[in-house]
Amino acid sequence: MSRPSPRIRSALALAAAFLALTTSPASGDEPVPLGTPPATVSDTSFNGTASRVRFEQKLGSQAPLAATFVDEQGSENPLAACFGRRPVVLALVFHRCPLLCNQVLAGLTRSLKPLPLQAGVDFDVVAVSIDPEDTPDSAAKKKAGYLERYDRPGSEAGWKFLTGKKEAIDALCESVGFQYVQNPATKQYAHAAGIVVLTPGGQAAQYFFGIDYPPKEVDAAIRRAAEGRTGSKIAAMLLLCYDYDSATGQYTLSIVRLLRVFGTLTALSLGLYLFLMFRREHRGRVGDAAAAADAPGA
Amino acid sequence: MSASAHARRDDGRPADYLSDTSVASWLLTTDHKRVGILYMLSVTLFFFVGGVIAGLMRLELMTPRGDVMSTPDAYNRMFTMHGVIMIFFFLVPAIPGVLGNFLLPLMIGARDLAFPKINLLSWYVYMIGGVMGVWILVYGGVDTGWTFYTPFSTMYSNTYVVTAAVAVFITGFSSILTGLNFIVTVHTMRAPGMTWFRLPLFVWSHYATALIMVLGTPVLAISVVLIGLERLFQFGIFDPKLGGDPILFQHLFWFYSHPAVYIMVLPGFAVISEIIPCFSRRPIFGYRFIAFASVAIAIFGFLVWGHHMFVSGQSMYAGAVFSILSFLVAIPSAIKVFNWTATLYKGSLRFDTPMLYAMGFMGLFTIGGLTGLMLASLAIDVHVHDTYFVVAHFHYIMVGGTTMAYLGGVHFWWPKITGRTYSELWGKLSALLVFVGFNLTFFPQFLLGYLGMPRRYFEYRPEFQVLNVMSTAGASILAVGFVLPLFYLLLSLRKAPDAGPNPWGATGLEWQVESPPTTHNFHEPVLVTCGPYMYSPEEAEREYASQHVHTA
Repeated sequence: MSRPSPRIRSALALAAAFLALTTSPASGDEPVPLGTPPATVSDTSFNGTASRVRFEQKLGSQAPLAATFVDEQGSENPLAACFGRRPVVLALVFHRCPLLCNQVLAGLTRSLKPLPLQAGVDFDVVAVSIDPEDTPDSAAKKKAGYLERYDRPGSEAGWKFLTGKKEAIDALCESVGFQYVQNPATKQYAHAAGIVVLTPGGQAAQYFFGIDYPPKEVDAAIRRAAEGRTGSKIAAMLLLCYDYDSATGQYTLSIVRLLRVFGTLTALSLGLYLFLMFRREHRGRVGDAAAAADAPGA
Repeated sequence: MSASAHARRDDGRPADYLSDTSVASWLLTTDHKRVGILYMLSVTLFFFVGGVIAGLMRLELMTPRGDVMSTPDAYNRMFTMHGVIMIFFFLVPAIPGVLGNFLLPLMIGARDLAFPKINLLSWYVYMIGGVMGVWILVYGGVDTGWTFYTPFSTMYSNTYVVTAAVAVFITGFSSILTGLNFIVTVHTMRAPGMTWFRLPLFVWSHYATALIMVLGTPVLAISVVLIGLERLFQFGIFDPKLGGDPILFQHLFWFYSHPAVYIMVLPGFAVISEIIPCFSRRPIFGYRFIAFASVAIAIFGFLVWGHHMFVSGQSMYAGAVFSILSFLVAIPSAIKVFNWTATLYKGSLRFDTPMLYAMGFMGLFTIGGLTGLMLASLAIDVHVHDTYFVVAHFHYIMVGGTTMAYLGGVHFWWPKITGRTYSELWGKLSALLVFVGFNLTFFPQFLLGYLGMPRRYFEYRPEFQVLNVMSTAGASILAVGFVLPLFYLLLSLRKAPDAGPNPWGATGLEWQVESPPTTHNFHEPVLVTCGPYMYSPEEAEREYASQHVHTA
């Protein structure tokens, strides 16, 4: 039910499925956190890697607009070229990915398709490869595939598939809280699934985790981001009440955290009452010091 | 010291709190003394209901085969109902509800509790829970054990779990209301001059108890609500199949239920701290230590819940920490026992009935406490967990401790509550029977548990029979010991009031007013000029002469 960290870790179950497909249980020497249930060898390697894979919500965090990336046509531009006019839907993927990245992009296309908003007019889609070895060629192939699925003529300019050097990739991932791990044996990446909606100014406005993004919510998020609003603080507070439940694959109410909050409130309110009462008595006694100073009969 | 009380009788004795006898005057009363009496009637009723169930269980356990009850399920329901009734409807409310309600305002020189109507409400809330409890008993019972462990209680039990949970939930609110009332009363209603360190230790203990009630009981309430949610609506809270965590329930449950042990036993300490100095004719030894030990128990009591979960898959490190903390909580309890013992030393001991109960308490509580330390040791606990050793241990605390203290308190303050004295001979006999019967019932259970007889089974291996027969024999003696006071105390009511204000020659404000007290407790504002337990004769003479100064 509960997770020790208040941060939302997204779609770890999917990452696990991905790992099971692509990695061998090689990194078994990772430290296992206390309290972890007894694990098999492959579990252990998963735990070790998974503990470093996370997608942390950094609402309002500024993307590095100066970092340069290469677009699918081969021209090198600063990231700022993708921003400034419209909100951006950012997906962090890598093109050789056998499973999860395709799911992310497919899910994204699926939710964008029914929207009244149009890519290239109302917002841009930017898919950045986290693999420095990906090339504009592979990016162009990907783009063609998803444009076909999106099936809205005239939106080519609204989809950008960027590749770049490791420094630029790391700067961008860092700014949106995307942490991944490369398996040295297979050169594959273990990473979380999700998309980020950014404001035209390049600030992270809203996160969607997993591979299904409710179209209505994406629509609302893009509209809010267009106005430069970076998520709502209330929504962020609300998220504190929810945890990712790996058994059901859903976010569920974090009973433990709620109990902690209300328990603390109860204790604090009683403590406050006692404090006020003792203070009142202390003040009341100042005029009655002689009586108060008497020791007890014992 | 009682001169002023006698003097007032000449100009027309004011009606005592018992004089209005109409049913409405009882059911709508806001007098803390009458609410105390209401509690006394109800906890007595529940005590005997729970006791009859215990008797049936002991009867069943006389032979290794199940022969008294038709099925093992019936036995499961019996021990569950015994636990639920005894803990939630007798032990928790007994001393605070009866003696606390009656005495707290009298002891601090107040007219009533801070919220008299809430006080009455707490009794009604308690009765609603209690009636539901009896309803469940009549209609088939619950078989989860009083601990309601999940996932059995939420997924598999076919009994009235939700009703029982609601009953416990409702009764919990009665506890919370009583606790709030006591806290506010002690803070705001003390008579002038009644400083914190002039409070009788009875009040200190009840204050600490009230803190636990207010902080702990909501956790119990929320745990049973969560059980209801999961059982009725399949919310995944405790059931792993739905993404829940069964251990979470144990954490929540014991986070309340271990402090609840102190809700039960701290008021017992309260009573003993009053009886011991009175019948030793000495000021209590180490007043401040006893007072702060109560508060320390209230605080430490919240940090030891994990010692119930040593074998529940809790991490070894957590187990070690909880073990150490459980050892620590023994310190304030031991402080109290040592201080009572030191009070006895060189005292002019009088072995009246309340004192016999108090002495019994000290012995039995000490055995219960020390075996608690054995159970708090990780290695021993693994061996004796869920055996009769545990059963014996907590009965030594709850029956040997709380029930003995409750009976001692009832005998001590009976003349104050009713204005009547009872037969000392029968009183002493009952105290003796309870002590002997109790030990014969529960000491064999330590041995049974150590030999490996698990608790909560209605059959057992033949080699355990001798000890079980001893235990059942003891239970019969214990039953006689418990029933006796019912008779001679009730018989005493047929007499005219004969106790006088202060039959024991005790100190404390409650003994300065008539027996039974008048509705308004005190006839004139009280000014306190000395601490409690002024049992050295010269000092008592000097100090108590000026206690009742008329300052109005």
